[in-house]
Amino acid sequence: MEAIDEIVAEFLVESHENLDQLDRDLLALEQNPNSRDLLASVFRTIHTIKGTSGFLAFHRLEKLTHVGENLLSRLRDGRINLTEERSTALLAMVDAVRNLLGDIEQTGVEGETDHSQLIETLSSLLEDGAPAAAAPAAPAPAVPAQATAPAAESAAAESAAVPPPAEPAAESEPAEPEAATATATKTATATKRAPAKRAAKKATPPATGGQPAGSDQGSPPIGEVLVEAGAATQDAVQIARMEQTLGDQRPLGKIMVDHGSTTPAAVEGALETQSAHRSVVDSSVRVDVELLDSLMRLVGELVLARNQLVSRLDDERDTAKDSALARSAQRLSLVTSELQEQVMKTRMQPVDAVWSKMPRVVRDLAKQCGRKVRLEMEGRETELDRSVLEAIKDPLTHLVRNAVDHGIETPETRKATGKPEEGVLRLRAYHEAGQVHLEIIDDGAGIDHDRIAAKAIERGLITQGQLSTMTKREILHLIFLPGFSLAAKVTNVSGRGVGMDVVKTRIEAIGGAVDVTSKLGQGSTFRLTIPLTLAIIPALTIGCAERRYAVPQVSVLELVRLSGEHARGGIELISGAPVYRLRDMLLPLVRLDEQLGLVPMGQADTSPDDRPIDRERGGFIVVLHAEQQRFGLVVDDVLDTQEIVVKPLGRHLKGIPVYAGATILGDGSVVLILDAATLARRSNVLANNLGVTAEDHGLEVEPIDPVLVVEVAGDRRAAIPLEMVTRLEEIPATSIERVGGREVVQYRGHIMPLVRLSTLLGAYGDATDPDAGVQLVVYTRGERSVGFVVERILDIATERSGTRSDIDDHALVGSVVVGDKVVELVDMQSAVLAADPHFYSSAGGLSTGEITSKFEEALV
Amino acid sequence: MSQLSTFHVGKYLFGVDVALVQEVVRLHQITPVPLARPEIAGLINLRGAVLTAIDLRTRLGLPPAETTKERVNVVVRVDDEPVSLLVDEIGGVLEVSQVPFEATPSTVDERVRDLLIGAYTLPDRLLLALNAERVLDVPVEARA
Repeated sequence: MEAIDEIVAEFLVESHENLDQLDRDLLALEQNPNSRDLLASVFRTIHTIKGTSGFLAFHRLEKLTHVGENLLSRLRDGRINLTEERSTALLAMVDAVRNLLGDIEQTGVEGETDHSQLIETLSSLLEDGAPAAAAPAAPAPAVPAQATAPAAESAAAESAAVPPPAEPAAESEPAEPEAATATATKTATATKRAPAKRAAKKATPPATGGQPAGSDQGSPPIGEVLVEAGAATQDAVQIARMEQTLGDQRPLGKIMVDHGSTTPAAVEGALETQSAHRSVVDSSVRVDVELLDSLMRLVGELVLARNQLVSRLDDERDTAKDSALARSAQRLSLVTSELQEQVMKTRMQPVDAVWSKMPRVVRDLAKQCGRKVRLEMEGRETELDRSVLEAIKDPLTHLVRNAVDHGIETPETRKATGKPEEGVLRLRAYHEAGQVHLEIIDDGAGIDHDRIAAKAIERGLITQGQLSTMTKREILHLIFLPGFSLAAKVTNVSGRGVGMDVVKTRIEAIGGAVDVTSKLGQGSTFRLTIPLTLAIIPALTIGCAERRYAVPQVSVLELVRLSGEHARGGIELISGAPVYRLRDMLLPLVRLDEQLGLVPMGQADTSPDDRPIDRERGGFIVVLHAEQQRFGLVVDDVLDTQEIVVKPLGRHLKGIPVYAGATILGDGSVVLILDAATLARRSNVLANNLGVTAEDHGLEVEPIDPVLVVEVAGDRRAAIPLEMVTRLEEIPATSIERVGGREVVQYRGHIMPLVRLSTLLGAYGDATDPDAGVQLVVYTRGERSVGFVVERILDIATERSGTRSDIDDHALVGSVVVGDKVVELVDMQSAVLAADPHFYSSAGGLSTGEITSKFEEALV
Repeated sequence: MSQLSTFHVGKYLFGVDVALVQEVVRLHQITPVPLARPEIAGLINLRGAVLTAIDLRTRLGLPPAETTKERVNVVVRVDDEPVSLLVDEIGGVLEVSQVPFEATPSTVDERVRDLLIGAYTLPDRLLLALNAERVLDVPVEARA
């Protein structure tokens, strides 16, 4: 029983592979309906599945593939042409076969699915002109008739009975008419057909027994190759074989050429096919992935052992000069390096492994949505680690579906706008800078910024005010927000508002990035940047407090050396947090030793005289990019860059998010890998803001949502988003009354609580002159109002210079440079709540969470 | 549990089920992990695999070793994850099926007692049988 199971398992693996190939071939056939090679390949695949399923007694499978085979054999012989109808039916058959195989895989037996309809459709398509019983409602125009099919041949085909194609051994089809006469298949030259026919007529009915075993295992016998190539008839082969069995010493091909049943050229071609087939069979083996992983691990150990040996020998070089041992070690070293490289390669797979599924996806979806789409693929051989490939499969499929469904217009629309009816979807892959770039380019309608903006506002993702200052790029990126969908109605293809955000999350989860560009009316391009491999990454090794750590190179933007005057001049404190002015932009800093708890938090930062970095020690700032934010990691030393193998941490250390894993360096020591995003979050550098991307940092002046700049106390300036400013008032100081511990003022028939920004921000202004007026910034929402007491109203700013810094402190969410002054961004939520704890709980509308994010978006 | 792999930590003699012990190695390199709990001694490289090492002294609430003598990694495998226990010195494998077994005596420190299955009274001393699973059950969350 076990042996049978094994055979079935092998059959399943092989068949699944064959089916994938079949999908590809059928689609390629649609482009090139006359390709004999493709037809032969498709036929061969179905033929193999049919033969084996008969042998293994999977009768449903056998029956289904048999009908398909009949259709294919007629197609191959050029008696009927491949129409869209036929290829749809054949693809449906492939799906049905796949399902059957799936059932067999899961239950061991064929399922109960009824395929009679499909079989009927397939049968009805056997003849031209016969309308398919279960044909699609709107049959597409037939592919132009094959120009090469001579009329005489079609006539011959019609007059002949419908013979089953050549059957392999173990074939029994009692219901089928026995092929007493072979149809003249299309031969290489028309002149050869007549002799072939003659040969066929002389032939005895084909034996139903086994064919003589081919001389080469693994490659089909030459006769079969000739038949499949359509260069000879099954009968002619049988005759030649018979002669061989009767003692003819000549090779089969030669006998056939001598009989005139085929041409020398065809035999030569067949021999080539045969050897090509053999070389494929002989040159590749299936290997368990686990075995590869374990190989990889072993090679890693070998490398370490090699390194130890070499360093030991280096120590003893004087005594063991030129010894045989040293030479052997050298050799071992070389071989090990090579081995390492090769084993790494075994894990790499071409992106085509994922792409090859796309033609089918595109075809089916295009049909479903009434689109005409041509899929072009560029760089299919681009290699990625298999784990990465696995991870990008779903996002990529989603983007492709999206491009067909939303990107490319209907043929009518395209025609109306002067574009060719057929849309082009291009997939590009290439390596650059140690990363793989994947592009999904369509020449469709493009993405309408206004529609996105309107939709985003409608869904409450952004406000009108924010929109007015958003760049086109930022607007475009809104499509990656959760809950965003442009689809007017929900289809089973898209429109549920899940997808793009998932694409983004998934790609970012493997250390990649997604970008989109679009031109209205001309199409969109989605760009994925992904690491080559997850297991081996380039990393920067740094030193901190006598220990080494690794930082993934993808996060590293640049290195800044801190030394001498430069170091001291560069680091400033804003609200007690260190920042570095890098090319006139504020770079928030994070000290690694603090983050790792090696020195007490904030100790070095308390006094303005005591710079965050020891003058003597110097150090480096590693400028990192994580979660679309930039910050500087202050370390003691920068050591080198190397490829490291990422090893997961055990369960005891999984709870420490600062570490992304560990690795073993060449000297055998274990080094922790730091997680840049976590470091950034831990140090509160990151705010959940929208749209600040690396590109923004290069700009000198950035537009922001308008903010009201006020003076809080002394020289401190704060910014309040204009959105949250309902009115500016000046009231006499004497009108301020007290209710409990709060200051209030009577304002438009209500009691309005006040909060002094100076108190809130911990600044101590001079006591207010009771005669002077008090400047109020009033924020009203529904029935409730709060008033912010400020020292002076200064300005309304609509742009900032340099980057926004996220250094926050009590009641702050960060700071920006407006003009040449640092302006602190007030945390409005806490400011409002400080005045009125129930402010948000009463009215409907935005929740507090939304207020926060709104605010943060506004100040990006 | 008829055979125990024994080792010394401080003045105690401990033993764990020999079936759980994968191997015993002496490694001089250990990478400390900042932010981890004090029981976590660090990471070791065991033939290309990165293992967490638990300082058994700290785990048992014993004072740090006075000597700077290299300690020994007893690699135990529980839940299919090998973890190293750092001990002072390795003993041998003892057959204990004939040795009288007792519940953990109350004289043993409370913190240690929680991690014990019981004690075997050898002729000359006590052999404390460790509950390996509980020893490895160091709370996961980081130290603040």
